[in-house]
Amino acid sequence: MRQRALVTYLWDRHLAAIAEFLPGSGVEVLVVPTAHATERLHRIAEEQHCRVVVLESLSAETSPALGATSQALHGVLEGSSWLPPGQSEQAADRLRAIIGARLDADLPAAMATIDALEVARDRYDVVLFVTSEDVTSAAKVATAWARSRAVPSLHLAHSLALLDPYTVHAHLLADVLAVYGERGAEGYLDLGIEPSRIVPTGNPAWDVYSDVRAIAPTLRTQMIDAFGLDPALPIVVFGTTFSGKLTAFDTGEAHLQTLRAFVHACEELARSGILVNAVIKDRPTSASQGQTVLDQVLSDSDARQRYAYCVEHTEAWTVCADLLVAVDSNYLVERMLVGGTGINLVGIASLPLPPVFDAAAGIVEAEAHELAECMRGLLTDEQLRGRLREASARRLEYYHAGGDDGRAAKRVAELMGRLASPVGGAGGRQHRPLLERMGIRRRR
Amino acid sequence: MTTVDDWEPVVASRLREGPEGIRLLAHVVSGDYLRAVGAPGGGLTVEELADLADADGLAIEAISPYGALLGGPDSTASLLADLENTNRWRRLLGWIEGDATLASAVRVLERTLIAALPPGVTHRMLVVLARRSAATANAGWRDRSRTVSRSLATGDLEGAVPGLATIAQTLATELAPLLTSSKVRYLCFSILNAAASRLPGLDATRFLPADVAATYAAWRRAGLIDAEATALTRTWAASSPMRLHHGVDVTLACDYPLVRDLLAQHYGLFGDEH
Repeated sequence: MRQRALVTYLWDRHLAAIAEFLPGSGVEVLVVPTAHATERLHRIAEEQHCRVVVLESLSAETSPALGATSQALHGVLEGSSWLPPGQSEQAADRLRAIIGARLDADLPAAMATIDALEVARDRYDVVLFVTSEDVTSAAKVATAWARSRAVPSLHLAHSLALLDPYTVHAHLLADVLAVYGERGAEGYLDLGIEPSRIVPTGNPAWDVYSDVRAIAPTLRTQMIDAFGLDPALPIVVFGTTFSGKLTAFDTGEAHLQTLRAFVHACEELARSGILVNAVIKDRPTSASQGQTVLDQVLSDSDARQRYAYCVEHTEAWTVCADLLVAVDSNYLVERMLVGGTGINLVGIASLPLPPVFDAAAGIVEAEAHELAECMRGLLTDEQLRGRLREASARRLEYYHAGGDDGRAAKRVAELMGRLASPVGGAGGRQHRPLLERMGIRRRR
Repeated sequence: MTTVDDWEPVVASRLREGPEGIRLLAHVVSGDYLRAVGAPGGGLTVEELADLADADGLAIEAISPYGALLGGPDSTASLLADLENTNRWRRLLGWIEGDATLASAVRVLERTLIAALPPGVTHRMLVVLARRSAATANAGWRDRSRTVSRSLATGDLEGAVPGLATIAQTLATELAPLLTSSKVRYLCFSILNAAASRLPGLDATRFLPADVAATYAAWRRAGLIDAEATALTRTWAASSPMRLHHGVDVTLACDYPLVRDLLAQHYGLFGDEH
């Protein structure tokens, strides 16, 4: 009898769900691509007496079918029937070159991935496929493979979709999407995806907040020491954003423009006598030039406030900040989780889009020109802070299922358990309809 | 106080028999609107309203459309249905109570624009009827309704909306200070976009200050680019069975980087050159 296997493309931050899922699941093998075979995954596998099989070890680096497939698809490009209407000859050639280059770059790994998944399916009883995203090359192909082979598939969202899913995100390939809260389903429902395929679970990565909150005072002292902050001044954290350049609504300058707006607002506060510890919490992907960009913005602004820069300690800043400012960001949902106040800086990171927070969330939305005034209000008006905190607490469940109960990993694991082919079942074949097995009935 | 089950004949008889000048303010579902959005029957067109008023010796004194944004979605069809049936539109309108700028913009749009447009623009209209011994005024409403239909059919906005230039100018002036809000920009852009799908010749610069109209043009273009780029990833290889490897479409692997490359290299966004 073949061993039961789980194919996982989960990100490190979601792995607690696997740790919760494995006991009693009968799964003995974790099939995982190299990119996700992290130390933490190995540790979880060891604890649960599971074997880790690296996906790439199951197939040749080059698929035997690569040559013929590539040639056929390049052949398609040589024709014209696929072109969008109204392309000039020059534009058509440009499109051929762009798509042709993508084929050469992306096909080899994609086909090797499919070959390896086929071997995994021959060798093991693959009872479930789970991924943190279904958009980038390998994960998208792997998710499509799971669907095509009727392997139950779960996409655990890697963020709460505050921005409506656009271009590369505007689909659901897996059988089921686990969202952090009902708010994360809104954009997918607007795309016409069946409500029954979306399940709010909470985010396993945020379970940590149920513990972090308890040590907030100690953490605050440590962060003040570590970053040389003034203990007498409030801590205002700015969570930076970036331009993904995957939608035409992106201005391409989100990082710089929003950082500049934040610094300008801080300086306006300084001129009116309000001094703060300003902390720029940058993203790891911006780290290589983040400090340089900040220095440039500060020198342009003749800065009077103190600014600290870092790319780490996300959770610590969430609980230590007196005020968090961010841009259409899940960071503000984390802030709701810890009962803090936050401002969403709107209007400059992209062309006009629908508001990402609803009016009930207790998150203040500020245009760049309103930011200083909104910050002043939240730093000086305790009653206002109290009202907003209460609103956030009331609305939290909608943004994060289970609120701050710290049980999201358990909920995801339970969902995985309902989805996985039952013990004793023929691998990949479903004895009951998937949604019925999940205990999910159509909401509409 | 009198309570009657069948109130319509009672009202009609009171109006017929009442003194000269007695008025009735009626909420009427617009038949012109329902026909414009392809809904099955119901409501009263302006022509039907004029016929009924003639028969009862009443004169139509005013017809005013209202509630395009504030009345909530119609239970059936709507000119804004593509927006109203979405979570994102409900999320936006949910801010009206807590966002004074957005609330002002909605008020301006209702009072300055919607109320001045022909009755077919929303499904709700308020009608003022008055008892007149010589109810000849209704012919004017009938003529006007026909003019509107003819003008809209040929895309002649000026013909459909007398005084459009002044209305547009007033609207642009009143909206200008509110358009510093990104929510108001999104609201106005979405409505203009919905209107433009029915009136292709609609010129946004008449309703928006020049710089905002330029942003609107970029916004419209962004929507078209996103749609075209996304569709292209799914269609370019659709005719080739060779895209399938063990039943899986291998071109899916290209989608994410391809959209990024198309936006930068084909559509020339983000400062990259063609």
